[in-house]
Amino acid sequence: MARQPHLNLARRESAVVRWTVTLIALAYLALFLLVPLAAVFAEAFKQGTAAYFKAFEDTETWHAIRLSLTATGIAVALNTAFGLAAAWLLGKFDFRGRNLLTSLIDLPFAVSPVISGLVFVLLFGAQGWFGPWLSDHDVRLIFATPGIVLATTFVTFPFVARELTPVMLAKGRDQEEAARMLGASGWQTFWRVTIPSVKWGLLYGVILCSARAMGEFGAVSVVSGHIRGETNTLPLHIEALYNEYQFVAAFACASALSLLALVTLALKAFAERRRDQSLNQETAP
Amino acid sequence: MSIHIDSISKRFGSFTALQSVTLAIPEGQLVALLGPSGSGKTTLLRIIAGLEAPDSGGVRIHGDAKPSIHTNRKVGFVFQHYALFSHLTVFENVAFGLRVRPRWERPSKAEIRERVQKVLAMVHLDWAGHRMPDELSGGQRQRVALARALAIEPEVLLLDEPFGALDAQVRVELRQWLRRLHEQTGLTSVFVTHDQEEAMEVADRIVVLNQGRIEQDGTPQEVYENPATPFIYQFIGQVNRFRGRIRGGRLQVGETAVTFAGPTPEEGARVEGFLRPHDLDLALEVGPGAVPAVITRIQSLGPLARVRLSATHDRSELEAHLSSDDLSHLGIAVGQQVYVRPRRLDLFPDTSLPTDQDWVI
Repeated sequence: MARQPHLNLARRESAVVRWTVTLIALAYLALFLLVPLAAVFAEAFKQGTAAYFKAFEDTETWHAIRLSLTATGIAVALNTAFGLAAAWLLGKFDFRGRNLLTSLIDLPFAVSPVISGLVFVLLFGAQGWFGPWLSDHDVRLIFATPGIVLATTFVTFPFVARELTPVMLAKGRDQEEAARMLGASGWQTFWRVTIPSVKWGLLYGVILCSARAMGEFGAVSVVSGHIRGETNTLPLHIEALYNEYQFVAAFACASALSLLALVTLALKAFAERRRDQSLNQETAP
Repeated sequence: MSIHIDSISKRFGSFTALQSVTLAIPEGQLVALLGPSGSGKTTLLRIIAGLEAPDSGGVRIHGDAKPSIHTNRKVGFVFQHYALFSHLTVFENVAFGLRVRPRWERPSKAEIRERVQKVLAMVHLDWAGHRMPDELSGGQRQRVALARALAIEPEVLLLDEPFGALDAQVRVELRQWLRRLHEQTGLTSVFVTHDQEEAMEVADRIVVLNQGRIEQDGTPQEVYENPATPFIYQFIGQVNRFRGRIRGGRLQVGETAVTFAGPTPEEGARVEGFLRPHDLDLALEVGPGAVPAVITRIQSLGPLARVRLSATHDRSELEAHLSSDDLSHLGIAVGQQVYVRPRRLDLFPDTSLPTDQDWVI
């Protein structure tokens, strides 16, 4: 490579310094991100591809995958609807209690997931506040799928709202006012103007929320009861397999979860780029 | 369509934006709401549009009930920062108001196409239908915004500082173009501006707002030639000001007694007298009612010369406009002491503190 003229300060350091700093950064990334990821796949394929795919023949594994996807699907759908509504309120309107709403949305971030899970047990468990009433009406929340969905939804609540609020604020209210002056109803304005203007931010929030929901362990662990083939999500199932020394199966499941995460990451990078482009467009003269 | 504004008041927290403003705008008039920032002009426009609700009072458009934002499709609104839909093409932006109509009122696709092309041609942008808004210049975007407002065939057109975000040359062009458009369409139009020159050039009538009240309402000529208040004298056009007391039916300015026409305020009253730069005469010799001043700058541009002076008695700045011929007859130079004599003087009570000697126009 030809030598670059020394145009800016950052490039003025000697080659040794530059390479050292770059190598340290790369080594750090490798140690904490790439090596664990590689280890997951290495362990999973340790006894060959046959053993790897055998792990997925287990019905309990498939049940765990289905349960994780179900809980994620419901949690993301709910949080997208509520997050969109909350971001729309916070981004487009002034009202009393704005700050209170913002703090409430952040609450699940501030509380440890295990505590969140415990709160649901305290509320809806057999000894909980609403426990007797629920069992009288033959409704099971704790140690059942609804509880898992509830815990996942709670923990991932802030993602969509947090991601969308700044985008909504940055877009301002002009376009909505213009739409309404042109005779559009509130509903038409929302769907034809507000949603398209934040669509990349929305996608980004949904992806983050999905990633978090799929990997959720702490809160779900408390409310699930670890019933195999019934209330084990994929992360809980991996833990169970690992504790039983079924390493290949555990890491095979972990590799599936990692693959999901990698796909999410790629989508996220794409959505992020489009979102930034659309924000830049807005601020350009 | 005519617009009737009936004693509207509006507060934002502790800030009073409008104080019982009443205004009637007859059909076909092009009215400028002129005022400094914070004068309430934009709030008034947004209330007329239905984007803001007044605390008291009401707006009727051609005797209709107060316009409600949901049903009102008679008002075209143009925003200062265009507010184009950034995810839609120019064509779809203009078509938006037609597409959102309920099915029974919505024109057919072919009609929509025809109408959008027609208004785009009106703003000379028929070539830009497939472009995205961010591919256009500021002036072009504002023309798209106008086309979008016109596409719904409004009966009233409201414009909020429509040229405020554009650079000077485009602004002057668009102004003249807006005036021509108004003459073509005959739409009752109200536009907000803080630029008095823009208001003078475009409007049939100027409503000057200050601190939430109407200070004056008249044709550009009336507002320029007979300002109703000191505020308007200073806000519109250039102005000279003499401060002094009434003594013996004349205005005592420093050592000089200046005569004036019109009713005489009571003896001893503190007043300020205003006049335009072209009503200030220059003389080399002292004469009755002539105030001494020193020339600080002479600027001769074509037929008009501008002479800036500093009054000897209180160092207030003055400006005189005279023809370049008169200037060369006088043969004056910077630093020279001369005498200025007001040809007319409008007196208003002086409400400032007596110690306040410094005044910059």
